[in-house]
Amino acid sequence: MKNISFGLLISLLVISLTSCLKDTCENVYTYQRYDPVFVKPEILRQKIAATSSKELVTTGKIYVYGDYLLINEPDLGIHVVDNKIPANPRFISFIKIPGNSDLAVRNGLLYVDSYVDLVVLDLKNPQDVKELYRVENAFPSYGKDEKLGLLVAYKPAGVTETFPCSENSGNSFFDGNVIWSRESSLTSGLKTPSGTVGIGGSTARFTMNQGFLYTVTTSNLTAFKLEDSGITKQVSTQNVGWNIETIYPFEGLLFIGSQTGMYIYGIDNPEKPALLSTFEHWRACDPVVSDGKTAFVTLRDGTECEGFLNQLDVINVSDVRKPKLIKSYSLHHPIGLSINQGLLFICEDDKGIKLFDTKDLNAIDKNLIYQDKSFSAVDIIVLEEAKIAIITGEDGIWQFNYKNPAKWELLSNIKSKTND
Amino acid sequence: MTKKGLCFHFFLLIILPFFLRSQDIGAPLPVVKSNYLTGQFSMGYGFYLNGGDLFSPGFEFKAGKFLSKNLSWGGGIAYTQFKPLDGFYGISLLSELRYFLREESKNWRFSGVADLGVGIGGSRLQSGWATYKPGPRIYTGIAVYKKLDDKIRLMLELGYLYQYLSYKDNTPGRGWQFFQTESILKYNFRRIQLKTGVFF
Repeated sequence: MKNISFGLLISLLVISLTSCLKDTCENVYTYQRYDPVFVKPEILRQKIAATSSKELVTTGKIYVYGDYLLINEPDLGIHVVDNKIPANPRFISFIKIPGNSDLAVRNGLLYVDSYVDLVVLDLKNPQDVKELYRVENAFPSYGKDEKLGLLVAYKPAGVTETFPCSENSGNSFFDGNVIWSRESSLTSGLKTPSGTVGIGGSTARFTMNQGFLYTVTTSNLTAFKLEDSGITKQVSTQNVGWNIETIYPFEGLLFIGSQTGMYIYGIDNPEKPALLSTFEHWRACDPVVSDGKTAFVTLRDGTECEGFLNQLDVINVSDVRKPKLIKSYSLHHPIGLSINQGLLFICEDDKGIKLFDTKDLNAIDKNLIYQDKSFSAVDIIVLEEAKIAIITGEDGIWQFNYKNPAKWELLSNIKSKTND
Repeated sequence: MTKKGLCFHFFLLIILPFFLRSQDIGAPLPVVKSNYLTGQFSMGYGFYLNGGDLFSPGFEFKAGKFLSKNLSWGGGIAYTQFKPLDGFYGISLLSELRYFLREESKNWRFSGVADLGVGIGGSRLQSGWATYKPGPRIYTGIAVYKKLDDKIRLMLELGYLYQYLSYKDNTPGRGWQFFQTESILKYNFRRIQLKTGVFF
C-alpha cells in the first residue's frame, strides 16, 4: 500500500510539474538578409556629372585610361585620379553614379552601369564630366513597383534573430524574390587592345573590342555597338549560363568566367559573339585571363561561391575549341590575376600578392619570383611599358614598380577610409 | 540504454566505487565520518521540445567532507544524456552541499542536497562540427539512505535538475549556406531525477 501511495505521489508530482519539466530551446541565427532597393526612375535618371573630389571610402573596381586611374566606389560612383606620377596620385573629381559597379573607357568616353542603365559619359575633361547618352534598361532589373519605382538591387544586411528551435527560421528573405549578387569581377592588364581603350582588371564585367562594348550580367552576355558621338546601341543579348562573373578579351576572343566554368567566345561577328568552347570546373569563384595560348583561372571558395577549391587552373587554349587542363596549383584564396610577358601576377586576398614565372607551365609553383604578404590584394592591373602593378585590396590601392621582378618598389598607397 | 551501456554503468557505479573504498578514511559508523564518496546512477524524466516525454540516463561521481554531524560539502562530475536519441549529452563539474538527518538506531539517514555546477555539452552526431560553451547547472533533491554495513549505504534520491547548454553549429552546407552565417542553439533542460547509488 505504501509503495502504491509513493507511486501515486510521484505521478502527481510529475503531472503538476509538467511545465517545469519541459525542455526549451532557442536558435540564434545570424544571416545575410537581402533588402530590396527601389529607385524612382526620375531619381535614377538624373543627369550624371562630376563633382569635386572626395575621399576614397570603399575600393571597388579600377580602370586605367591614359594617365588617369578610375576607382569605382561601389554603388556610389567613380573617383578620377590623375596618375601621371604614380608615386603621387591626385584625386581630381568624383563622378556621382547611383548603382555603379563597372566601367570601361574608349576614345575619351566613359561607359558605366547605373543600376539597370548603361550610361555614356564624356571624360575628355575629367573635372567637367557630362552625360552624353543613356541606354535605358540595358541590364535586367528585378521588378517594378508602381509606388516605389524600379527594384534595382538587393542590399545585404547582417541580421541576428532568435527563433524557437521547433520553428524553421531565416526564410523570410526568400519570399519569392530573386537574389542576385552584383559583386565580383576583376580585369587584368594584358596588352591593351589599343591606345584609345583603357585597361580593366580580371574581375571586370565590362570589356571592349573593336568598337564594341561587351558586358556580362549573372547570366547574359550583351554586345553594344559604340559610336564616337556617344550613341550606343544594344545589338545582341544572349544567355551564357549561370553565375557569370567576369569577362576578359584577347585577340578576337572573349574569356568569360563563371562559378562553374570558363566559356570562350569568338567575336568574328562582333555583334553576336559565338560560343567556341567551355571548360568546366567545380563550383567556385573564378576570374580568368589569357595570353592566347594559355588561360589562367583562379578558383576560390567563399559563401558567395559556395565552393571549396582554392587553386590556379592552367589551361591550354591554343585550340580554342578544345581547352585542355595542363595543371592545377593549390593557392591561398586567389582572386584577381594578370598575365604579362610570361609573368603571372596573382592576388591572394589577405596573403597579398605573388608573382610567378610561367616559362614551365608544369612547374609554376617552383618559379615564384616575388611575394608580398603585407597587404590584402583583390585585383591587379599591370601597366606593361611602365612596369607598374596597380593592386586593389580591402585597405586601398597600392602601386608598385616591378622593373626588377624579384624586388618591387612601392610607389604609392591610396588608403580607403573603410579600413582606416 | 544498450546492454553495453548498462555494463558500463554497472562498472562505474559498483566496481569502481568498491575499489575506491580504501580512500574512506572516516571512522566507522555510527561515529560521524570525516569524508564520503558516492557513485550514483541517475534517470531523469522530462518533456521534449515538441512534446513527448523522454528519459535522460546518466551517472555521477562525488566526494565530500563532513563539516559537522549534519552538514557536508563536496564536489564531483556528472554525465547526463539530455537527448539520448541525438546523442546530446552534458558533462558537468559540480559542488554540493548536503544536510543530514540521522536515525542511526534504525539504520536510516536522510539528506537534503543542493548542487551548483557548470557543464559543457557534447554530441556524438555532431562532434567536430560544433563549438560548445559552458553553461550553469542547478540541482536540488532529497535522499534516503539504508545502511548495508558499517561503511556502505544504499541511497535513493529524488530531485530536480535545471541545466543550460549551448553550442554553435558549425556544420557546413546547411541548406542556404549563402545566407546563413551562424547558428547558436541554446537549450534549457529541466528534469525530475531519480538517483540510486552507493554512499561510502
